[in-house]
Amino acid sequence: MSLLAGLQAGVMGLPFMPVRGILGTDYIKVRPDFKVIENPYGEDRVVLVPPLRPAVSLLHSLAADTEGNVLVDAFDNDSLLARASHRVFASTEKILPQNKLKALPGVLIPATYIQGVIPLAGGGKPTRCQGSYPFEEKEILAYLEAARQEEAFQEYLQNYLREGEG
Amino acid sequence: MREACECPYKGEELMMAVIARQVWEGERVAVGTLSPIPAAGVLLALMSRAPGAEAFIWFLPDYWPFTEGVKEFFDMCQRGDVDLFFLGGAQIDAGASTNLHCIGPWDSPKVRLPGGAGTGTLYCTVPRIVLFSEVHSKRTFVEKVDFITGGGCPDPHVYRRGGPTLCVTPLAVMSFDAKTPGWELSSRHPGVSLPKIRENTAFSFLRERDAETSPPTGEELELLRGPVKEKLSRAYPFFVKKLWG
Repeated sequence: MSLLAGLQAGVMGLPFMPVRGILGTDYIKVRPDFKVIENPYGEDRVVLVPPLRPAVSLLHSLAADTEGNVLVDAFDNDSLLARASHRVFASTEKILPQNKLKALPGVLIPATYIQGVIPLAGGGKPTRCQGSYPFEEKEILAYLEAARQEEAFQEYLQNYLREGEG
Repeated sequence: MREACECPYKGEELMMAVIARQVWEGERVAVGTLSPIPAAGVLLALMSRAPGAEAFIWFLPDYWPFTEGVKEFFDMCQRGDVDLFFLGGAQIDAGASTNLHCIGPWDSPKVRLPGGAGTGTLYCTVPRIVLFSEVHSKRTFVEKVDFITGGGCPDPHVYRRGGPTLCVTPLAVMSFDAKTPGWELSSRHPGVSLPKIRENTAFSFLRERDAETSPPTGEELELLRGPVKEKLSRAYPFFVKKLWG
């Protein structure tokens, strides 16, 4: 929530964004960059979060067109992220001819926010990618098991990356 | 967790039915991430007692009208336009604070958890919050959480529309008294004894009502195992497979 508020501040070019709640939680203890002010228009206190302007963002898209427009999942915040970022590179499941994205379910990010598109079918695996493949239960369980130990994790990573190359 | 019970339903199904009874006709209700039991409860309510409620359910496209991701949904909550939301916690304490950050101290945790995902704001901006836990043990229901992700009784200067009203667990239903503050034991699930609940709760109750949770009706079970299951499996295929096969 505070992350999204920071991105919103970044999108709007503002110096901070107020966020409801948060006061009285331990976020305030561990995030010295969150500031508390008296609401100048009310009786309450409000938490402020700093703006986020990622230098580069990488996102995986459902599809892209030859003009560089990309289509992302409506459940994600990729459109907000793209607008907050200085540069955005989108990998994509497939590249379609111009004007073919509008008919597909999803959210369109105009090419003006995108610096580069990289065709990368399967780039969302082992998690799901709407319209292309589901979440892979077996693979996620294998990852969780391997992630318990550094050595096993490195081995998993090597195998997974090698499979990806093939 | 439940004692032997010749119940014709599963513990999760009872929790779903209890949650469905929290949904009122005509209101706006939402279910966030990793919440299969509340999602099923809300779907059940839509198919039975509250067909005119409007529901937003994370990862069910039929119940997710937003195009700007979860941000658009959070904005709606922040405006005060969502009436009921469900939150969980790895720990829930006597003051209804929840913890989704870490077990043990923040700087050297025993377990690092995924984080709040909006809890800190939603807890103050949605008027009615129902807590749920798939586990009822002393590790979950603690006197004081290790890290406050959601503030049960936050800073008196914070803007707040409502707060936690109820907590649904595999053993019982508890209701929160924000004035005292503390938890009241509202009802024990069928087959669960009072000592069993006390043994598995690290805080004491303000009051203990001698009541039994109403079990799901035959009609509710039919809906859960039919159309609810079918819709829920889109977002929670593994949960559905494990519970209903």
